[in-house]
Amino acid sequence: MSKTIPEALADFDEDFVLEQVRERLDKGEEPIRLVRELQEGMNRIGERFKSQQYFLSELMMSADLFAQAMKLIEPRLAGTVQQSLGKIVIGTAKGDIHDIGKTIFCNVARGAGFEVHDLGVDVPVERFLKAIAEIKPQIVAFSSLITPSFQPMKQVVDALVQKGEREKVKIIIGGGVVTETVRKYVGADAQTNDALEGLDFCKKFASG
Amino acid sequence: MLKETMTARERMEAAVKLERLDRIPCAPLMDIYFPSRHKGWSTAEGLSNMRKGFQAIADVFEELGGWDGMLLPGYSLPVTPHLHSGIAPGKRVFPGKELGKNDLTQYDEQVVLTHDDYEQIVNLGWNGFLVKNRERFNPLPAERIIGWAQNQMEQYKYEIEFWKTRGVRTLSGALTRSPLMILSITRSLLEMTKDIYRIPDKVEAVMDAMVDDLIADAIEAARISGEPGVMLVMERGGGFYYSLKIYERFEYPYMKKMVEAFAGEGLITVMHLDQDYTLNLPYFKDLPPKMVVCELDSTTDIFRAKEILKGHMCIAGDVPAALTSLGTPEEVEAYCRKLIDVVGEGGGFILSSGCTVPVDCKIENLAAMVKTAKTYNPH
Repeated sequence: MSKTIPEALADFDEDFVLEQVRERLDKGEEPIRLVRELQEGMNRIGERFKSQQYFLSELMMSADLFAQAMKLIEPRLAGTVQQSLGKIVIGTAKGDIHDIGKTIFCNVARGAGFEVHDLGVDVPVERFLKAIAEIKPQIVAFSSLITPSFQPMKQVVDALVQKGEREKVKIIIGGGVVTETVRKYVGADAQTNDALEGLDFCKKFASG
Repeated sequence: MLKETMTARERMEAAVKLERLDRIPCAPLMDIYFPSRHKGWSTAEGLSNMRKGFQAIADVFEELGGWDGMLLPGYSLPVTPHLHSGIAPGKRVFPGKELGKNDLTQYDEQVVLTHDDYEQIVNLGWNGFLVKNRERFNPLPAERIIGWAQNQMEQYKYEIEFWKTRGVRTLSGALTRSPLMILSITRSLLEMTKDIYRIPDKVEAVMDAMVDDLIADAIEAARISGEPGVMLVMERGGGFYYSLKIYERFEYPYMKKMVEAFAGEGLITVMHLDQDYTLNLPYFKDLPPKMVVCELDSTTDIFRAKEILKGHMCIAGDVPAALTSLGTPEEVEAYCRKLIDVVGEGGGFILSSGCTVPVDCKIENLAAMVKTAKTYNPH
């Protein structure tokens, strides 16, 4: 029995995964089927991470492989109606350029079926608010590794409160420096420094 | 105030040697960012002048009535006066330059080293590789690079002397990183991890070629600075990122070799451990006893660290940045008391900030931390 995409993704077999995706797309296979298989692979990675068989490094590598495979698939997805668990707007707030945790979370969330809008790092408050107004996400996520990002995260939440739009979104913060004290200060709904715990929060939020 | 029977230096040294203490010593890890903000300066302004920037740190010390030790003296870098010391391949971005004038210096996670570089490092050693690639990593003329290194070390010695005049022990006369830490910030965490999986033998060969240069440089720097200690920075090798199988091959043996070499020269190692190393704590029991300070940033379980490392090595930490930045003095005092109660039991503990004192720390919270060390001793 030959290897499957979910197995290969869970084993970080980059050559196999990317070759299979290219080959099957060229043969005219429905791209959405490949997306589902990749998502199944990400589920397996998640299970291994939760059972401590895998660590963050393995999660990061498989999430990166998922992102590479999706880059091949996305051009063929145009016009396809995809089921999404919900929309997430994410970024690292002004003053903080750390990218690692955010990138891992973005890929993991995409792998689970969320539509993720990554605003990048060092993102000003106004850009968060503009993106939230335009994209209308169910979830706003902030990544934070240093304390100066606390204030701009709070400013985004405060602005949503002032506009009477706070109840329309769930807000989650994550990163090495984040604690329950920070969650309360920012006014977020959840905090974590574990990408998969963050994903579980998002699934819960998206399911209402 | 408690009745004190030791000087600050004696207290710090006794904490490292796990000897009896009159009270728990306090030694925040303080760089230039918080003191600059406290002065009302931008961080860029604080960074722009060595003496002025360091004076801001000293002024915080005076304002709070002093404390016992410094993990690093504050502003400058302890670099040897060699060309390779002034060549750092990792990409950093600075306030007032690439970043806003009130931001913090940060690593920009980019791939700077290539697989071809691995080959060169294996053949030339770490220092030889840096010198050969000088223009790529630091385009300044060689004499200016060496001049910079000399200025840094002169300032470092000045800072150590300053603290000595205040009776304060600086624990680190040198600073270095593990090979994994260096490769992770120069290859990027993702690419480094891929290398570990795909070309493990090559990565191991590169680390083997790096470690002796790193050891020799740190020993030389400590000799020049005159303070018998080395801060060994390891932020990316622990159980937060990697399995123990990877740790055992790519971080632990190099860390052990470095710490043992430093101890052989009579140098204390301050292991600066950012991120969660709880899983790795049992390995630290193999390190030379009473010659290491395990410095934690609040993500490692410091109470578990005490259970495992009690009687073997000193622990420093770990008042969280979020607490000193957002909490109240009462909350800080309560946390410090808990640390002194549990981690300070039997000595071998230095009350410190979790990683550096954050730029937006409230001065009253730092004051509460210092005051608790001076006034609370249940043991």
